Amino acid sequence: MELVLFQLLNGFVWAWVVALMALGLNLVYGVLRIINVAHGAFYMLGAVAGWVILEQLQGVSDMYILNFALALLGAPLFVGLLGLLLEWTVLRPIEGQPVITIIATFALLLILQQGVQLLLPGTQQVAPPVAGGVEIFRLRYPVYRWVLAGLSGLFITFLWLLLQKTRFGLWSRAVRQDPELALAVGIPVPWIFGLTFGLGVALAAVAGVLTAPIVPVEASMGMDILLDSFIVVIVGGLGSLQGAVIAALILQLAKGVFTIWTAPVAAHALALLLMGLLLLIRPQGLLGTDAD
Amino acid sequence: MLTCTRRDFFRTAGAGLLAFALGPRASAQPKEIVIGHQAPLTGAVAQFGPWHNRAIRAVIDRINAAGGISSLPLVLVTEDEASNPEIGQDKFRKLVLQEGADFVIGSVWSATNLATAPLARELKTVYFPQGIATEITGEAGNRYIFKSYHTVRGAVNAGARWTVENLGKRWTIVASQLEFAQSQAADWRAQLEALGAEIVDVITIPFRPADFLPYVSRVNVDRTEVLYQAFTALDTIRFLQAARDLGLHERLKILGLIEGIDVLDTNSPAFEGTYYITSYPRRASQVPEELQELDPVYRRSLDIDEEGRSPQGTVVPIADLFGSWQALSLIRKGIEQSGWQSKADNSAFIQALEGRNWSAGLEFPQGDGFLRPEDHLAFHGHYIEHVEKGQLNVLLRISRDASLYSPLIDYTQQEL
Repeated sequence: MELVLFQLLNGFVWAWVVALMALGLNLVYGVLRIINVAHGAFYMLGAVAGWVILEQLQGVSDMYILNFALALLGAPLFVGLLGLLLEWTVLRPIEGQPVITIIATFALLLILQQGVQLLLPGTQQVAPPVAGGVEIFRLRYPVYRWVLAGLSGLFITFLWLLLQKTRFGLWSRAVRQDPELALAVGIPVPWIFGLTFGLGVALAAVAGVLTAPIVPVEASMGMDILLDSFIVVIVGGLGSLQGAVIAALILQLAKGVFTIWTAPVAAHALALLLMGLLLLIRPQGLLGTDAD
Repeated sequence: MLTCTRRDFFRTAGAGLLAFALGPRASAQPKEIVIGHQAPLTGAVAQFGPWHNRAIRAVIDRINAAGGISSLPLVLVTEDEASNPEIGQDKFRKLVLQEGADFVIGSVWSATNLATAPLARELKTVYFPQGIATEITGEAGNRYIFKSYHTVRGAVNAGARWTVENLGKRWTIVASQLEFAQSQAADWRAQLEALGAEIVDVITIPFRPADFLPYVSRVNVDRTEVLYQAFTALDTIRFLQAARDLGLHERLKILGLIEGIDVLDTNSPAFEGTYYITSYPRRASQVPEELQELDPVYRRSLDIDEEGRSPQGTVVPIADLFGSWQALSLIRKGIEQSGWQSKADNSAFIQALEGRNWSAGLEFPQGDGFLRPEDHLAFHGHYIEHVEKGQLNVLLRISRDASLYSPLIDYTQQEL
């Protein structure tokens, strides 16, 4: 029974990270109609930038929690600005050509990955801002993972507020529904494109910094989670933000539950099988509209 | 104006190519002894390659300063095998065929060693693999392979009795999928059964998993007394952190081989209270008395301080480097005793090393040792070390005889 609870809990925590990734991917797809293959590289870049910031701050301040908070804000800011720049220079000129866009983002993935490999070979380790475990209902679980789930949830809430309650959100939703009409009513569509791409990859960077203390930080770290995020986006329904969160929960909880009976590698395969079945039942995704 | 017909061009180019192809082999009279190093300078075990290279260089410099071996100077040629068996094979071929290496010191990556062993026989070149998978001195090896330092089974045998008697009788083994870790799992299983201990569970974990918790949570804490872990450096930290987060440190004794942590700083809560079977103390203060004169010489020539760190402050795999150091010392002994002049004398060289004994000295600062004739495997002393207040302390010194096991093969029956 304890093992069941434990695996469920662990699946629940990972679900929030995957949801954060998937939301970024989905946001970019919803507004720009771009399938961003480089999303995993931005996740990796977030983790690496977070590590660099922590290394730089090491001599300056002894408050590790404060340093970590700075890394959690600084790394996504850096990655977001880079995303803004890349949308402008790389993706803007090939707007509206889906195949070339996929190739271009794949190229970005390779460039970012190999660039990091070149500048920072090997694997880095980031210490968690809070160490140790706590016992709740006779179940011991690392404190930092609670923090991780909480912060991911917090960022997801921020995103929701941003999209629902601000002018940027309103404009962004308008562009998502009909870019031409949005342009006609005076919305600065090119800016919305750029900012949305920057925001999307910044979310990946947030996920990167948050998971850095529990995974090895290295150039190829974004690949596994990228696959999970794509699966979650498709099963949740392309463009549907709530769908992505629900699909992330289903995928990760299934992984956790299957881990109780089989080895984690087989559990992953079984969880993917379940996602495939869901897609057979609802080809448009859990909350997707058939327009996509 | 210079004129050059097509025929002239091909004739000159052909002659040039032929000379290049025959180059290393054409010089029958040796002017030098070429030592090849198949080094993991990049990839999974990149932390080890440069250090082994440095150790080899240090010994070569010392030998050359004293006039070389049989008045022939040593020359080092290094190739990066990228912790990859296929690249390792290519680089071994390159070292032997193109660079004319007379002897090759191998990677610490066991998969590369196992892939290279057949080539050593094919190219009739003596190979000193530095990985510790037990298989390399068994069916996977051959008479051209010399293991100048222990294998997994040697270390397991050395530590088994004491750990079962003092740490506990009910064991859970948690091991990476990698060769050297699976080698540990298999060897412990056999040893524990022989000593009457119980194996509660064996948990295999892929190399660099995204998350350790789902695996570590499967450890049966109530039934287990000793948790044995077998990983490479980075995975070891992540495993130990996960174990600590789940509170296993307080409830079980955690044990491993030094190879899993020999580039790691133990001054972190994740290491506190863990045990290791090692082949040399990391800290100078822990070195046994009879080796205390040699220890500073060894450390100084590799630029390692009394706490086992480099001048840059990184932890050096001080114990691991004896493998390369002793390989060169053995090459010297073999050449001097057999009168080796070129690879044509390799059989005399091999026979000279089979069954070789040595005692502690500048060439063997780790201590007395013995190279068994049947499987070409070195046996030497071991230690049990324990992390207290962030530092490794020696609890016990184990004699080389405790690590002896019956040979898996008899190379002396193989033709040369």
